[in-house]
Amino acid sequence: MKGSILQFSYPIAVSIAAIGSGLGLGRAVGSAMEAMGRQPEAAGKIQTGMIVGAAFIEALTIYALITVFLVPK
Amino acid sequence: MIANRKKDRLSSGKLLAAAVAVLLLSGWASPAIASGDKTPQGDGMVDQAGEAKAPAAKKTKLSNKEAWKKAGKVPELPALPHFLAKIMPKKAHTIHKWMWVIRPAYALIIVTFAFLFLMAVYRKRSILPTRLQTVMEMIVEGLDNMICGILGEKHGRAYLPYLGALFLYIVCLNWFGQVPLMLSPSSFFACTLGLAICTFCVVQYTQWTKLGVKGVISHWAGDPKDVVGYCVAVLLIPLHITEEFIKPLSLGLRLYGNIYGEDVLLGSMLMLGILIFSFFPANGIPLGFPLMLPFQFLALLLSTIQALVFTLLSAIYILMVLPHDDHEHEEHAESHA
Repeated sequence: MKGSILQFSYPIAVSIAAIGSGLGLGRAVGSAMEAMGRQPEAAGKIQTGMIVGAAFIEALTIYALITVFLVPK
Repeated sequence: MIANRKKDRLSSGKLLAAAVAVLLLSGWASPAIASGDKTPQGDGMVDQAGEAKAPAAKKTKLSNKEAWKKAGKVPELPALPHFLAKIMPKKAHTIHKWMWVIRPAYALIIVTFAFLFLMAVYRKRSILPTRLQTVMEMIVEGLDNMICGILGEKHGRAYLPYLGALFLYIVCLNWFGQVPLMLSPSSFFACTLGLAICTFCVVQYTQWTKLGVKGVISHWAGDPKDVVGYCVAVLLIPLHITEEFIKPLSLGLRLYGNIYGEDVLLGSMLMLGILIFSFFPANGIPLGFPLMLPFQFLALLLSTIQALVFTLLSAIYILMVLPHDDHEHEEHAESHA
């Protein structure tokens, strides 16, 4: 019984995390692209910042995923 | 032109030395850390769908039921130990038991090859570069531009050997899983944690030597100037000390989670490809559809990005503890408390 509940709740947990970080990534990358379009000469710096920010946002989904892997089923 | 080349050669020599240091450090660190964790983590047999029950899996289930249950049956691309366990069912239990050594040992294979390759390139360097040397110089120059862009010319050159070696090593670790019969060692938490601890040590060394004890404590307290500042400092200091330890932990977890997740994705897709043909009465004949092939290209791309992220974050952690002689980079320092 416990196992079957977890089987439903793990994917839901990961998908909620993915929705959140998807929205966050969309905003971050969208703004970065806009900024790059406005100032193409600063593209390198903006890209570095964007990748770092994207890594921080994406890490949240990864943590949810790791929880699913590591918590005993 | 010649002066420029001389600089390149110097930095690639330093890169080589730092590469060897990092590789040895993490190679030693990982088995030591791994020895605490003896569960046969993620040794799910991919090809269980084929024949009735793999003898290896059965054996593990009987002898090591608890651990097997705890680890869960996470699909994974089959690697050399899995095949060895299938060929020698009697030794399967031993192989599963020693998996915590075998996984990090893949890192040592990479170390050996990287060392030999770099030695070969480094030995034969000349003014008229060969094709290989040109490629290596391009890589070094690209890394130089990237890191000097973040840390500035002076500090960038000082930390280029460590960060460049880190990037190249992590790329090798991540890509190694795509080689048939090989595992990527970075899908093992101990390995990525070892790398993160390397970064932690570099950051701490930089912090305590460049800022000094007084400077570090003042930095942790948020450089207080008035009464309100000192009141807030009481709250800020524990926060900053915790952060020092959370930084390497999250750095290691991010890389591990990405690469392990990628491996699981590939394993599931492989399994799905086998399951598609399960209606076909193929008794023991390995038959399947390579569904994981497109995802492997994705994995190559994402592995590179993750290596880049690890390197960039290490660079930024170093940047945060460097003395601020120019206020150009201050926004980086405050952006992710």
